[in-house]
Amino acid sequence: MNEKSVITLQNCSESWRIGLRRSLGTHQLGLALNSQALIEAPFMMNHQNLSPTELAQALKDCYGDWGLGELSRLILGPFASENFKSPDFLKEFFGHPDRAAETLEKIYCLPLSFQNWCDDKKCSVQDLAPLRGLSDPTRLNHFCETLAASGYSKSQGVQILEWAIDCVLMNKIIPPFSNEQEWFETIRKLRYPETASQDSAVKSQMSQITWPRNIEVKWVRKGDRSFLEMKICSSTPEELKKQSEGLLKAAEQWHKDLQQAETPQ
Amino acid sequence: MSLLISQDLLSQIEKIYIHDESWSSELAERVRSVFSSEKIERVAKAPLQNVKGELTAKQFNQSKRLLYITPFKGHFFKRCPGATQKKVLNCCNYHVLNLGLQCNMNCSYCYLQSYINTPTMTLYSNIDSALVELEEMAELHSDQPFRVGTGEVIDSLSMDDLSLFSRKLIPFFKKYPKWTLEFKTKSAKVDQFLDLAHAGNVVVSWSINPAYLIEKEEHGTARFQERIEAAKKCRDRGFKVAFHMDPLIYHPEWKKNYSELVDVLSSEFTPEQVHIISLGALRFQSDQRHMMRERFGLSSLVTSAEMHQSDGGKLRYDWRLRNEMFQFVIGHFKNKDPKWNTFLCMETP
Repeated sequence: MNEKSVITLQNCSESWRIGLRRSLGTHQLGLALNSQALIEAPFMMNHQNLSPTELAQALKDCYGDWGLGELSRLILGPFASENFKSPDFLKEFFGHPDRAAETLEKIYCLPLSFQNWCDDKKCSVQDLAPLRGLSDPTRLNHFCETLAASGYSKSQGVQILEWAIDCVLMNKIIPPFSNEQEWFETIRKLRYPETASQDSAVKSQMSQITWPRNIEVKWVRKGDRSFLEMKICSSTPEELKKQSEGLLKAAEQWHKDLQQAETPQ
Repeated sequence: MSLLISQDLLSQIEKIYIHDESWSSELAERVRSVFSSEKIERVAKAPLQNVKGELTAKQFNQSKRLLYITPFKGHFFKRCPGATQKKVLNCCNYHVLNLGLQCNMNCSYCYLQSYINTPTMTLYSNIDSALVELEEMAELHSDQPFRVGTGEVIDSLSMDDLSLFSRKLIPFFKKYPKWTLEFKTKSAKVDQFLDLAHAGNVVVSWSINPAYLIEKEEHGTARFQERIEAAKKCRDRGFKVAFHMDPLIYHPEWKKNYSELVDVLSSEFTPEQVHIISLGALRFQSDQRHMMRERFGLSSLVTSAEMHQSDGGKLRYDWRLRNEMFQFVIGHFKNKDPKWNTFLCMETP
């Protein structure tokens, strides 16, 4: 946002502020307000004549793009009043105000960098629902700072956040950040150790099998299923026949390996 | 025959709201006769109207301490949800009769956690209307082998010592011997109906798990041995009994614990005495994991389980593990006696 276009409401009269809400909305007035200005404006402490619903509407008129981090500071910060905690106020922002209120409480306890990350990524209450499982969100401070500084997309970030919360709740220690891909995999394995170890064992088994030429095989997991995915490139019918024969041999080998693995030592 | 109400239920329920229209019902009269008047409030509309939409964990917990008695205005009788997902599920195709909503017990995996959005438990005071509805159905389909269960969104028997619904339903089903009434419970509350004559078409079924899992995951339910004893009482009175080994829950000692469970069932009952044994593995709607995390933390075998998205959208164990568990349990039953009637319920094949 252009700093020059940002004004605070600090010096505005009450009637101007209410007029601002009632008449138009800042963009139509050719003005822009930022959330921080609103959060810190003394106006926030002097709005008893507005109902929680009117107040929420005014704030939305002034600044239409409240993120969860910003809202958590607005509602729980030092300038907040009881009006902000009213379900009627939150209803203007959220379909389920009670769950939203609990989520905002957790976000507010976490580092500012993480709050900003939530705003940048436009995270929803549902995206951050796992936070509600933490009685002490500050246990996640270091993780959240690292996440905020990382280059994960929103979906990756939300996913790794949930795994990390589960790990913390299982008293597992989150490993230090290495790089995006490796950290993601490491935390996934920490949350799903048995699945990861089984998948890795099968992958290793697959790599021991001799596959025909021009066939690419990959062990993949899709949800609750894992399976062999195969890409066959055949230029001639003869090549396809050879590949088929080779595949039969590979299947036999796979079958034998499975039987061996199941036989008690 | 005992019509006493369990002390647990009396102390668990903190507040009872009775709707004006239910005030003179048999159910309300019984409630008023057993609970202190301080706990009871007469209301003209549903209580706690400010609580709307999905419940928070706190609200869900609180809902198990509040009871609302009201008439039900919709259709009592409907098909089991499994019937609508036949493409992805094995379905046993039965009908459900909902006589209330929410359960006074507290299993960590309970699907009601992603289903309930009312801040109280509810018991419907107009069971007579339900029976009229059933009668209309019966006139049309009395010769068809309909199975009717009452334990879809409420445990069939855990509050039956209060509602005494069983005492209305069992005589009703006596008139329709081709129909089957199925109670499904995790309680041991059967004494209130054992004296009733029936047509041999009443199945009292228990959702059952090894004692270790009952202690760890099925809070507020009857203990393992209590359920077995209650089942034996029913069997001895000629009621059919059934067991739902559902959900099977993976844990390091699962083979040992489920073997022992099969051993107990097959030593206490014969295959002829047990109507069916249904099996299902742990599963729940994806969004339910948040509510469970908030309510039970990650020390639960359910919340800490390694669950994956499945075809039907629910989270389930890896299909290999599911198959291994089903084969193990079914195999153990069949080794005992091939006549054991086991099947998969609400499960992917």
